[in-house]
Amino acid sequence: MQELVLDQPGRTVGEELEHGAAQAETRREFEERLVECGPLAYRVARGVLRNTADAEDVAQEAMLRAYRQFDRLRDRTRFRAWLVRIAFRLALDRLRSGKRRELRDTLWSQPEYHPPAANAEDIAASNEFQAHLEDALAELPEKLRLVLLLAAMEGHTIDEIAGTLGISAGTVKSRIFYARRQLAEKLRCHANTIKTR
Amino acid sequence: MPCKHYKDALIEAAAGGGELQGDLRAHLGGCAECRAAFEQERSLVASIDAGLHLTANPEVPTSLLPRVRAQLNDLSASRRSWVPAWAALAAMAALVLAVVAVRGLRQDAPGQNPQSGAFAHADLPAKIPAVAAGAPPQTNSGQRMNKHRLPAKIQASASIEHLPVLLPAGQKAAFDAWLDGLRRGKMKANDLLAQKSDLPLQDLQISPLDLSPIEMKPLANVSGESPSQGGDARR
Repeated sequence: MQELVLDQPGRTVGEELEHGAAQAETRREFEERLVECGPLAYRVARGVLRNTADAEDVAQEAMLRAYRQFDRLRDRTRFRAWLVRIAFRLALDRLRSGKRRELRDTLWSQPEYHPPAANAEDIAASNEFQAHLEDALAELPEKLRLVLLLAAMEGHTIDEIAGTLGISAGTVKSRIFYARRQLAEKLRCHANTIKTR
Repeated sequence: MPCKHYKDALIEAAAGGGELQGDLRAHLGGCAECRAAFEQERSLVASIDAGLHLTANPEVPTSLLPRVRAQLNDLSASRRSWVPAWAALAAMAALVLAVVAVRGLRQDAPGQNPQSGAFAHADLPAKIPAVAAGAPPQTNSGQRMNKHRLPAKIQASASIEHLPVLLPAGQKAAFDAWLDGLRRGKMKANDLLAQKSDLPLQDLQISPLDLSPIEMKPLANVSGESPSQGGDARR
């Protein structure tokens, strides 16, 4: 004998229609913000992971997570900061998992962007420096790294970064300063070193 | 090599990127080596900034947003993926409604003792214990059947929605999907009932009620008058 359970539907038709309309509105609003903030999520992930494929996966996952929890975000003006944090956190998790570390290193040995340079030696030197910079960036503390990445992104002022991360402008400036100084310490050996007499 | 006393100040000034301050500025004016070291450090920081700009502003793949939209669509579709299972559930629902109908017909049958019908109906809540507090009270199963005969789709859907039904354990989600189709107007409750009522209900096994035959005994003190005659006589 099959066990039967009593089903007592909770929503009326009117409530269901309202629910459907609300979902459609949520989707529309989310897609508007996606166009604006999706590239930012990708760039944050790319800055952490240094790999296009991984960054795209992480950005996609971040946006889906944001969509699933979009209703819980009461202040929609905080969406940008919220998505950045999700993407940054997911990218760090992906980085730590190390499952694709080998593939990422292989891909990274072939940089996608080649800045114009005078000759082959300059190109080689530039790519080498870039690789060292990426390594040094990966070793920075998380707080410094995120601020530095956001500061390096086009169109981000100190105040915008402060608003995005929910910290003061002074803290942003301080973190940028310490991050640059630490990078300089790590990379000085790859440039002309400062020796003291 | 720069002077040891100014080394840290040089590095911090280069990393800060701002204007040089008093003492350091004056020193650099008179110390060529510190000035050269400061320029090197500033060059290093500029290289770092340029490298960071490259790292932080990669070209966004054109496939990113379409991929996300496709995922969002899949996400929405997955919430409706139960719909293909509606057919089996519709049969189940028809079965349940048929049981309710049979019970209702038995209770509403003419010539029955009204008290026995009342007793039969009184048994129903005991067998369906979990009726929600907000549900309208069902005082007569015939009234419930009348609701199914409402012509408008919305009315029919609404009446179906307020009916407590018995479902196989674990099938609630699929039944909800069927209801979802009903609400979206993809199907009508009345059509469903009409369509599915033609199916042989092989699984429906109703044991015949064990009723003892009614024994008709003449009343001892009645002289054989018809009830109407008796009534007229009393009036």
